[in-house]
Amino acid sequence: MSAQDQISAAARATARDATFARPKFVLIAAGWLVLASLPFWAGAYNIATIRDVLLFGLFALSLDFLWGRTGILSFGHAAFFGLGAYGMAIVTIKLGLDPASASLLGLLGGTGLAMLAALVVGYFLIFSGVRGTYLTIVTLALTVIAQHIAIGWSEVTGGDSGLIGVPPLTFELFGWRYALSDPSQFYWFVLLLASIILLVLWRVLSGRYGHILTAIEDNELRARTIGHHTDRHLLTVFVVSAGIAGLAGAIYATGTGFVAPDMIGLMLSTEVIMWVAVGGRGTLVGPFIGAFVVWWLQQKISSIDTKLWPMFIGLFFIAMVFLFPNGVMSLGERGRQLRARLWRRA
Amino acid sequence: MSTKFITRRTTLKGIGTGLAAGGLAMTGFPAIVKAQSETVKIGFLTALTGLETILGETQLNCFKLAVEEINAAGGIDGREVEFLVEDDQTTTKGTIDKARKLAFQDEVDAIIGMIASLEHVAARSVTTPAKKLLMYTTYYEGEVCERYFAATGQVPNQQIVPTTKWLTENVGKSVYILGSDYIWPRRSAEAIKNAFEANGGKVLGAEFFPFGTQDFGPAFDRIRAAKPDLVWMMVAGADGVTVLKQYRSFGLEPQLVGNAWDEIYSFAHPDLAEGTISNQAYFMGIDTPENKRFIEAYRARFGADKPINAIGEAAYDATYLYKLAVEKAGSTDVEKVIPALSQVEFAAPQGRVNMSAINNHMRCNSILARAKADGMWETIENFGQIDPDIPGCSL
Repeated sequence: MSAQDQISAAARATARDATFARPKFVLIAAGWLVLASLPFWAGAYNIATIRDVLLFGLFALSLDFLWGRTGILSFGHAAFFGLGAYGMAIVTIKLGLDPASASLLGLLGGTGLAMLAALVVGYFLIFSGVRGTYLTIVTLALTVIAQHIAIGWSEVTGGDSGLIGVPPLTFELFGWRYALSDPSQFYWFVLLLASIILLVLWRVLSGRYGHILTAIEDNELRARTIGHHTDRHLLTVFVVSAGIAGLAGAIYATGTGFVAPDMIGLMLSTEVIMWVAVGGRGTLVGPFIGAFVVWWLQQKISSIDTKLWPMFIGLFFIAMVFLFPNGVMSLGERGRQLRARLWRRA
Repeated sequence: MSTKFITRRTTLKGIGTGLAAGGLAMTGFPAIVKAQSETVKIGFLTALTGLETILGETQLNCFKLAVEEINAAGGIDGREVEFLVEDDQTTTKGTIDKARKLAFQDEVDAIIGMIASLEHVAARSVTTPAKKLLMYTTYYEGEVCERYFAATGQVPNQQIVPTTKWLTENVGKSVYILGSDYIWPRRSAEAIKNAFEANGGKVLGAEFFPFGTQDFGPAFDRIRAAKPDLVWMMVAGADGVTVLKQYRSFGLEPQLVGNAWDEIYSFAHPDLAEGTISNQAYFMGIDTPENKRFIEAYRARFGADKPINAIGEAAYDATYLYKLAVEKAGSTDVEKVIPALSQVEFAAPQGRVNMSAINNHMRCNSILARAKADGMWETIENFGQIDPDIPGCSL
């Protein structure tokens, strides 16, 4: 090991220690503990809704992985979420399989369908050099097309009213069958899954791979010149991101018990962008917080004024963009910035 | 239309509640005081933003009117009715969120409302497992058979079947169908086809258009070539206006029939609606003391020249039927209220109504009417109450 390597290893170790000591991480850990203990003190309403918020957070995380790390904004992420949900519904309802294997096949089918779609679309776009706004516009078309198919192909998708009767997640291992029909267990399953995916992504992105992606976002040509297969990296991220979105969609469908065309539509695609933007792009934890904050605000404000609430939500987003352009996760830094500015002035 | 909803006063009120919301959020949102058992709590869930706003507004007004009347007359069995209004945004996610809130957090005794099919599907995914009564007040495809679901709007055998019988006897036997491309027009088209064939009639063609279609000309050329006696339209929303304008400008002869046309539409476009035929459970032109009183009360409360349609009237009926059922059952216990629902009857603005015990759908009236120049509908024939037929349903 060369001297330089030792130095950088030591630097990385201190950086990691510093990371864990930061108050933000203490807060996140505390937040996780609160979430994990939720079923002990919260009612059925809160368990079910927080579970859905976690699933939407996971969906937002998938977009953040793509948008936050490679700079590619996808306006079509609901297509992947919806493919996951529809894949799950079609496998479990239309194929007439044994519930235990149907659930698992549905999960694989839904996630696989989303990844396959991303692979095909991504391959043609990314390898032919489509980037930036153009890529965003094509993904926009993707979600519109997906919604049209969901409505139009009614023999398979149930059309406008969707498919009803998705069974709860059931697993069978060595003859031991387990159905996640209990709300608390289902909730913990979702929390655990979201945490694992979050940790894995965080681990991968804080290492060498994260740097490569950052390099691609900064200047793809330069990254390619020093020998990185930027097309392949981007396609991998795109497909993995679609897979996570599809997984979230498939599990969401088992929670609601049905799928409908607006789970695949443009509206959801824009909502997920809002969640990531509010939470803080590129922060990985932020999307969960963003999904929660936006959901909570919508719930509260829309119950107070059933007619004008979209206006207040709109104002909130405008205010967010002006005050905290980097999202909720940057509250601390933003505060320090403002304080530093005042200090200098004084 | 939208200008009617955002007036300066509602905006100010909205800003006020917004500020209040902000204030409450700061202080940690006091828990909503639990309902005392003396009140009966009803949740009203419908589309107040999104695609169906205009319909949702009228539906909500009719519901409010019923609740206010019931409270003024001493409530339900002496218990005051408390209600909560929630907007489902015409989306599944919005509907699930709000249905959950009403069912589990507010713990309402029943939920009334909804318009689009996706709303009742989404709401049932919450209310049926939770064993909450859900009352749907829109005419629809009529395919739901669930203990905890009740409907007070027309189903095909109460709307399409009698209409078709009359049309084949009095106007003509061939029809051409134009509809938007989604479940309700497609399923209705099947019902229309069956009904026409049962009466010796014939469907010459059926076309379905995606939302946002601008040019219906090619379809009109095909209609001209097919020479049907009737054109049956189920083109929804803003496209419904476009298609009628073009139909009029093409100068097509066949009699127009629709099963979604009502006062909301004809008041907004009297010139386009004039002469068309529609079937609903309720029209404002019904000449009964109950209806006169209903319209007067509605207008005194919400403004003169406001249209009322069948969806709204069905919400009014649903609220009263629920009241009567609770009184009959002597309790708000859902297991007692549901059997009681079919044992009560109500002198509704549309006429006498009651529920069928075998499928929890209402014995709606069926009124065939023709639109006049002023937007009102003139009754051609009142078929009276018809037993709802939900194939294979026996609760």
